[in-house]
Amino acid sequence: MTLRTIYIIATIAALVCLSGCGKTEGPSTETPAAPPAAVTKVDPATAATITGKVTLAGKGPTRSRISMDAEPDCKALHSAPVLTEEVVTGPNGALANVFVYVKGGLEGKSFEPPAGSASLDQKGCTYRPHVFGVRAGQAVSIANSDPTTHNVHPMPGINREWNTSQPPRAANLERTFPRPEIMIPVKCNVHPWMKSYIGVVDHPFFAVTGEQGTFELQGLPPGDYTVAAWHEKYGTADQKVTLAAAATQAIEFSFKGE
Amino acid sequence: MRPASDNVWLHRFAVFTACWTFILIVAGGLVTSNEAGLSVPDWPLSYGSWMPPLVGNIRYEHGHRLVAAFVGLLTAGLAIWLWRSETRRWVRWLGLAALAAVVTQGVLGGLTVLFLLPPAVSIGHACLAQVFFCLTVTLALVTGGGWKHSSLPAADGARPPWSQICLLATVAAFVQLLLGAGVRHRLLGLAPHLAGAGALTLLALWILYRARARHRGQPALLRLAGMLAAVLLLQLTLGVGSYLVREATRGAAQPLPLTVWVTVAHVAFGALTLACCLLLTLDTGRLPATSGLSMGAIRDYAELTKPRVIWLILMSTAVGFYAAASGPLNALLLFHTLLGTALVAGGTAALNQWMERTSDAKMFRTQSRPLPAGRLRPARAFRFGLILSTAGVVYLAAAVNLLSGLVAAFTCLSYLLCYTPLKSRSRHATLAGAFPGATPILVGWTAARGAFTVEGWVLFGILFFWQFPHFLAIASLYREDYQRAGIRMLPVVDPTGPGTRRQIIGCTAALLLISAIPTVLGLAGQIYLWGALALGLAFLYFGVQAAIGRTKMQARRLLQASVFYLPLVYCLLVLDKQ
Repeated sequence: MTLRTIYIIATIAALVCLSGCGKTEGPSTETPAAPPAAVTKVDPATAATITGKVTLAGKGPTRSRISMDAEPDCKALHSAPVLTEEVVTGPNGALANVFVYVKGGLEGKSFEPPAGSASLDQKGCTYRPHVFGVRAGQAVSIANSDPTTHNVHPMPGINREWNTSQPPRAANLERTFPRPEIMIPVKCNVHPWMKSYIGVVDHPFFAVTGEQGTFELQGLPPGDYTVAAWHEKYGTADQKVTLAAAATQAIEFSFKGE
Repeated sequence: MRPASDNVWLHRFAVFTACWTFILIVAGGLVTSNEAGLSVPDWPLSYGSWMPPLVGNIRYEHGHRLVAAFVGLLTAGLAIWLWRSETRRWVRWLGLAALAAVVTQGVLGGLTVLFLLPPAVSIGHACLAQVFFCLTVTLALVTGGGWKHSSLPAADGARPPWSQICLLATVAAFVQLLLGAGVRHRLLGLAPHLAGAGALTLLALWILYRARARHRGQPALLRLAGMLAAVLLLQLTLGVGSYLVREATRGAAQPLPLTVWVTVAHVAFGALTLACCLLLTLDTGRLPATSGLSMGAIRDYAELTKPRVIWLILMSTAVGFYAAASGPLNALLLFHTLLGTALVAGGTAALNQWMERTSDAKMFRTQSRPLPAGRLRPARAFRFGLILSTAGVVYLAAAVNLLSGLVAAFTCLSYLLCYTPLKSRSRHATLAGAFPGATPILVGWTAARGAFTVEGWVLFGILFFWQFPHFLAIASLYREDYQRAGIRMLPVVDPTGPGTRRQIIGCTAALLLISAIPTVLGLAGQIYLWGALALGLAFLYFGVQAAIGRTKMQARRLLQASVFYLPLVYCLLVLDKQ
């Protein structure tokens, strides 16, 4: 009799403990980084610029077709076939959807908080844009322009993971990622082909290449920097750059295809 | 043997439930293969309603939930039906076990959603699904007239007994499903799964060979063995197929229907393989045992480990682990810790019963245990306990850390070499036993921290002092029984003296004080503090009552209070962890 009571109570306790575990799991990653030191002012007269291009040496894979046959709501939004955006190339080997950012050289500096929010749209059952950057702590405004339900599920390593549904015509979701992180994949589990990647950095010097493969990082104080490029299939590359006052320095990244 | 009382409809209902469980496994497989697990972010409701918009993967996720709810209802119905009309006690309890499994399974499924698909929970969900399937299949088998009235087949006299081979195959099939789940959730490589497939194939061939060589006269068994071989052959093909299809569609934009169906079929046939092995084991387990393991012996071995005590110990270990962990909970490490601790605890219990088999035979409370009742040979129990506890210590040291392994080894040794012999020699045995009794919480603590710290010792102290009122109350209740066995606990040797009284009051008061320290040390917060003080005061009240009155009734109340006190304090500690 008593052993049975113990058994029952222990089971209830275990369940309570299980539900308790989860509650304290999340918040530890939520504390934002230490409050910024004094804001660094960049003198416009000496501000330098990094420009460049990212190319793919060799052939990239052909973009495969996304099948929306099972989803009439999505299929109806497209007249042409929809292709994956994993590797998108432009003329002369230009590689699009590369996130380029200053990885080293800005330590200890902090910059004006960003005005406005970054935006991510769910349109035609794809994420627009496929790759984008945002400042740490800056709001990301997530819209659903589709007539169907999506769920938005970022899968960060050091920021907090979450998963929220967004029915058609729902209000935009406003979310922030307090910690710098390269990169946070975002997924829609309702439509498993939908993927997006967010680069979170704690300064304003980042860009995403378009179909021309070009990028520009403006307004940097003169100095030595490490610039890094990230691509979802080809990984990362970085290089050192020394910027003189008011100079414009051109660099190139080349990833290897097949 | 009362065919008239056979409930044909109960059996049909059990079969129906088992079939729907199989469908549920397919539905769950579809969720994983379509990467639909998180397409519904909330639980238990879906998009805040019972019926969300059925678009995209929500169809699979919500479909799985609907089938699961249906199976849950079926299982509840089956459990109630069994409880009311089944005459065999163990079948009634099996029905309740199935109900508990399906409820736990539902909660685990909810946790995967709410905690965003941690692989450990997903694999746990996948494995419990197979356990639950085994339970419903067993119920479907044993409620049937064939099970109840068929005469036992003749023993074949061959060694090892056929039932043992079948049991081994069932275990192998289950481990194989575990390994497969590991591959599926990207926690394991393919190699162990392939090795498992090889082992299972050999076992199935052996079973088939044995069936054809020695059991030609039993068409049912022969048919089942043939079915196992056929299902396994198909399963191997599907395994190769799912690998090839997955490789061929690597880099596809989305899970393709072919990949999904081949993979899900592989999961489904895995479950069928397991079911075949299980049915064979259950059927052959009724063959007269030539030697070694029969179903009854398995029950005896399980009883030897004192599963309920293990459960209590694991609760302490888990609390220690959780209190010591910083940052997000490492579920896999916790699992290793609990598994290792369970092995050591089970082994220690077996060795303890081996040591006390003579005195156990003298007490009403314990004389039906497997050893005093003569159902198990002492040498076997000794070997079993030794292997289990050694394996547990090694497992902890290898999979968790050396320190936790050492603490577990200390627990086992001090319990067996210090406490057990003292029980019949000294009135201070309770004190000696309180050390190994409280170390489980330290196993958990050192598993998570890798070191002893003050906070760990405080938790140890709580469990240490709690045991005195708890065990003294038990000893007061079973005084006569203990006396017969020559156990010299205080309430036995000194039923009227002040010793018992002093110990109960002293330790309950000490418990009250020490339970406040976690908040002082910053381990827990205010809610814990006030809760623990309130509970401690109530406990002290019952302790004083029992110490002064010394009636059986008051001892029973104290025992009940102790049983409520500890889990509640643990809950507070976990919920209000700082």
